Amino acid sequence: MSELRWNPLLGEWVATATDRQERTFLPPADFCPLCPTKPGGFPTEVPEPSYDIVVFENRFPSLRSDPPPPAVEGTELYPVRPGQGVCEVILYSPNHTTTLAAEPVEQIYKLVQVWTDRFLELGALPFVEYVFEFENKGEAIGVTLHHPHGQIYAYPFTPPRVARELEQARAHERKTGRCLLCDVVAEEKRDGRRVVVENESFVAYVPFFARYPYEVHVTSSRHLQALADMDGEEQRDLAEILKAVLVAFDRLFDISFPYMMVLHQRPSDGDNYDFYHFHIEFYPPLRTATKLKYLAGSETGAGMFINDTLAEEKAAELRSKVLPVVWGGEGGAA
Amino acid sequence: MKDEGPTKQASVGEMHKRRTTLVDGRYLIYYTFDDEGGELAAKDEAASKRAPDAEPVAEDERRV
Repeated sequence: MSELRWNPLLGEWVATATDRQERTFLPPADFCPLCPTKPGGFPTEVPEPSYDIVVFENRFPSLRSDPPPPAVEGTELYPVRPGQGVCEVILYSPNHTTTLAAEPVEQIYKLVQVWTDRFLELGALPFVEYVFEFENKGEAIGVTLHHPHGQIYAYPFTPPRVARELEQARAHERKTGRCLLCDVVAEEKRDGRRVVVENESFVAYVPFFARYPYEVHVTSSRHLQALADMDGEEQRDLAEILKAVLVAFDRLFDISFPYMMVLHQRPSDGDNYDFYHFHIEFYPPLRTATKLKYLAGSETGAGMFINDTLAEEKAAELRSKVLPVVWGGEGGAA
Repeated sequence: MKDEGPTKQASVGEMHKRRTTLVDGRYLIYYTFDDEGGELAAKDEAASKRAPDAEPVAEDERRV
């Protein structure tokens, strides 16, 4: 059962997807459904014995291209609509034990190209308004499969957090005549204390307003709205700065660092979003090597985040862990 | 951050995609790059020459 129920208190949709209760939960490595199907082995989601990058429809989707009718009838107060959309899984590598941070920068560049292709293909579907690409990494985030992978949700509406960003960006542009994120990038570069790493096309920084101790935003220096607007050099620079950030995360506590990584691009509904600006946000749940930043009463009930740290100090910690990125190397940074 | 070793341009070649349908009806797309894609294209071309009038199957490959 999958449907969208309207929350009139917040003015936003909630997806109910009861089938997801049955999804695979932390299987042993020998029975990973995201590994290639080995000759004579049990059949996984990928029938072939190897692959480079694979995308497939999620077996337990929150949204479907041909959704069933809602389980309940809506009312004027409580509208209900079918859970129409697409949920995909992206497998980064056939190697069960790798992570995006451990992959060569070339593999991350390939992923950037696949993200771009999925953004364009899913965004062209008539019922899709927003393509949301993301990764949940680590049990601390709640992943149910350890095999390195990301996800894509193609929503039939623009999700509330992105919609709020769009409102803020539009208001700033009307007030100042400038792009909000262009101003943020300029301010971060001018100040410098919160910058983690930068290259010719991107800057990675702990934002002035960070909600999580090690929150990092990666923003394009050029004013553009989506991966599809980038030229080849910018896509390579994006892969390079992602590699640098991911390696710095892992070196911070010498662990495979958990995080949520989300791509914020323009909606795909055909309207003009020239005022918007592409960026990627990382939300790591750790505040120390062993302590989690919990989303408790204030964060969850009031939407008011309390960060126990200074962005300037956390950025300095991360900056000290950045290594040069090597193209043609064996996986890691130099 | 500084580049070392081979140039970025030479590091990853053209992307190819091959779409298949799983037994339960879901789609799955293999993305390949560089020589992998070339080998894939050559394999499909050979198959096409062997059976020019064959019915289309539930697989599609296109260069992007």
